Amino acid sequence: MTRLLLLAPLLLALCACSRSERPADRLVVAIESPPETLDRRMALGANAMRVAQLVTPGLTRVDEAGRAVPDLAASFEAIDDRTWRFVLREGLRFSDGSALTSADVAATWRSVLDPAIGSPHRGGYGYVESIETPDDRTVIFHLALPFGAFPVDASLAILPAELVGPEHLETLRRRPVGAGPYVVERWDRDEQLLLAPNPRYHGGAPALPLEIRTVRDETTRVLELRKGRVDVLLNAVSAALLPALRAEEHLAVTVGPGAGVSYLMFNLEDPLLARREVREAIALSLDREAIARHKFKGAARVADTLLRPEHWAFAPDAKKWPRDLERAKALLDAAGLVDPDGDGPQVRFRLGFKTSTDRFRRSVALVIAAQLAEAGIGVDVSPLEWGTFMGDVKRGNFQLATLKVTPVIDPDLFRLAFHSASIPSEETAWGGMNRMRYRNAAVDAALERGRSAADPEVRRAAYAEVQRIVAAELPALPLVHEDAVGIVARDVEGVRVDPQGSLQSLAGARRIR
Amino acid sequence: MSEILRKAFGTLVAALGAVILVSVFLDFIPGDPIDAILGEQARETDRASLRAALHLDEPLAARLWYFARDAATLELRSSVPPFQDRVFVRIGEALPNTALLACVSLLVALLIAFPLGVLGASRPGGRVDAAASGFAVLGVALPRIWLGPLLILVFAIWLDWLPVSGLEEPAGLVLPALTLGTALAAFLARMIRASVLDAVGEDYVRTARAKGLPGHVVLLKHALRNAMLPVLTVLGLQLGALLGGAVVTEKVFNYPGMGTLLLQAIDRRDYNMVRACVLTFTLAYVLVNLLTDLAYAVADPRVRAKR
Repeated sequence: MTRLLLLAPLLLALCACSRSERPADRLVVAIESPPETLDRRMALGANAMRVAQLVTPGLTRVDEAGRAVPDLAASFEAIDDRTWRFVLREGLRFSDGSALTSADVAATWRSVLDPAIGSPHRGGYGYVESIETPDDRTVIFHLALPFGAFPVDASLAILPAELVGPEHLETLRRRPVGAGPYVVERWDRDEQLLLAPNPRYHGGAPALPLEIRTVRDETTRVLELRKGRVDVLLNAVSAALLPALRAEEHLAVTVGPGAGVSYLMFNLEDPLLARREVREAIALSLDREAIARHKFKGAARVADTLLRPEHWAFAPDAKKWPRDLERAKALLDAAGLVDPDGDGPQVRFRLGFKTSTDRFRRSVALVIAAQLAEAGIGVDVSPLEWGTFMGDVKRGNFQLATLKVTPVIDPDLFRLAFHSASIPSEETAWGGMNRMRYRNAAVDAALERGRSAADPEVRRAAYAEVQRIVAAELPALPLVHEDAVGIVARDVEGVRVDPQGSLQSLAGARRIR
Repeated sequence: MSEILRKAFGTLVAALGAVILVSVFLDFIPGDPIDAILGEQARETDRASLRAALHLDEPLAARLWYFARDAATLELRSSVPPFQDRVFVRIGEALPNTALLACVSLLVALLIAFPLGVLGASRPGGRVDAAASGFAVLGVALPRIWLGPLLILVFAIWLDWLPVSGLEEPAGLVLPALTLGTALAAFLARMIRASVLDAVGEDYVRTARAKGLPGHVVLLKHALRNAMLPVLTVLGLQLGALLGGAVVTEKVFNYPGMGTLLLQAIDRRDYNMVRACVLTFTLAYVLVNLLTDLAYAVADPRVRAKR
């Protein structure tokens, strides 16, 4: 007992040294997992790429409509469909004061393609054949094949030429040098990364230093926000918490378009689902509006195609499938799939529906099953462990399944999703996202046109055709665009919620009062 | 001397067994780690080169050999791009934090458990005993994933005494230690109570009473000392549970320890880091059991005599 009394003051002393005032001299954003590196060439995690972008931006960046816009470049253009010219902004400097020239751009790009660096993106940029630098501000990329989405890929970070060699990998990982709005000030522990404003940034230095804090547990993230120790959460909360957060006085919840889209896949090699009227009936039986409202707490919108309406390549005239139970039933009746007991418990036919074990995805699957039951379609939902689930889906061992693509940036993604060459098989090492096993020559041709054209208007037309055909033939039904969610303390202004989850807008944020 | 050799050999076998077992299980997990690391949109050439870099096309035995070779020279690096993390440096940073958390939690547990257990035993069936039993049931039943946020809500948000998470300031240690300590305290209190009650029924306690010693001296000096042996055994075993509980607790409190490191490694499919973490946990467990044996000798003269 005496020992307890002796220790009590110690515990009290520990308690007393805590304080609740927030660090007003900087902006604090919380993320779910720490970046594994800040060297964009080596980065794979989403957070690593987002933070790297703040320190080492590229020639372009992707804007909210999914379009590549100039960043370090002042302008860019296609000379022909395999040659792109980028002109750098005038007077660009790295944060260490040295000038950023076309030589740095060429050196960075060559290093990504250099096997000695071991970038996991080397194959992805393998189409770059050669790089030419006619003067200090001009870079010309020669591609091995026509690639219209090249400006999006040109968002790759630009590093100083003298630091791109393999001997500097460790430096670049912890303290990369770039021309972005921030400079790495301190990063000695995973949990806390301090970024200082870069006075040489071409867009003007940010008003406040930025602290990027890793808080792994969702509940804890929200509690840190409530305590005021964290100012901003971008896309790091689930929909279920939104109603509670909206009730918090000193927090502002912003919901904006997001680049994530969930979709329902039909296995077209299944005899039932190969029939178009069955897929149409399923699409007509679903009340996606209700799913968005109740399951996503309003932080989602019904998806007509894989692209959100704000995206530059979105096709507004693609066929829409609002709920129409009566037409769904009529379609199935006409197809000879009659409900044996009308609206009674017996079903027209049963389908297997595979999903991951994620609690939220599973609950959405159960809602879908309940909605289909109203049209007399029996659905057996089986949640599977992720590895097993993906294995089954890739090998075509499913009837219905849901997945989410994130993020949808360039419509070239359609190639991965709907091109007949993207059907997973032994030869493709089970890569490719066309797990529906959809084959359509017109779609394949439009996808080739969209990929090889450099003119955005030609690309838009090609991808609009893809969206129209796919929305009519329904190899997969897009469910909802999952919104991007930002929770920001009320005394911070200027933070915008980016569909892709970019942290870029933090550079323009400031504290009011 | 032979005793030490035997123990060292046993430790080696345990560590080796744990690493092999974990490696085999990692291999059994369905799904391709390449998919998880590179994502869906990766090109085939990148997938192939990563597969080669991870030696995934070689048999498990070969991969285990590479692991053992690099681990022996302490040169082991993480097995996901950018392949730059030095595994043992990371463990060297995380392990002291977890050790600190475990020790403070143990202290918290003992500080709660001893008074509760002894008071309960002094009047079995009394009010204090009933309250202690209630606490014990609660302590064992409350999941840490729930207790942690509850403590944060009370002490960090409403009372505003402590930080929510992290270990930037020493006060950050209090809540995780409480979370981890209470469950253990509940269990220990039951154990101490039962053990003291056993001892109270022994002849030497009756003798002490007959000598006219005051009740608390009998209880604390004669009964409690003898009741220590079973408690020590349980304590040794429970430290293992403490390490397991640390994984959950560290996640909730964002505590920079071994649990966080392990979870992150699993998340990233960093198999080298996972194996090294498991190795560390195994060695820590064995070491704690060794210390328990030594503590036995201190607490019980008979054990010393046998040696």
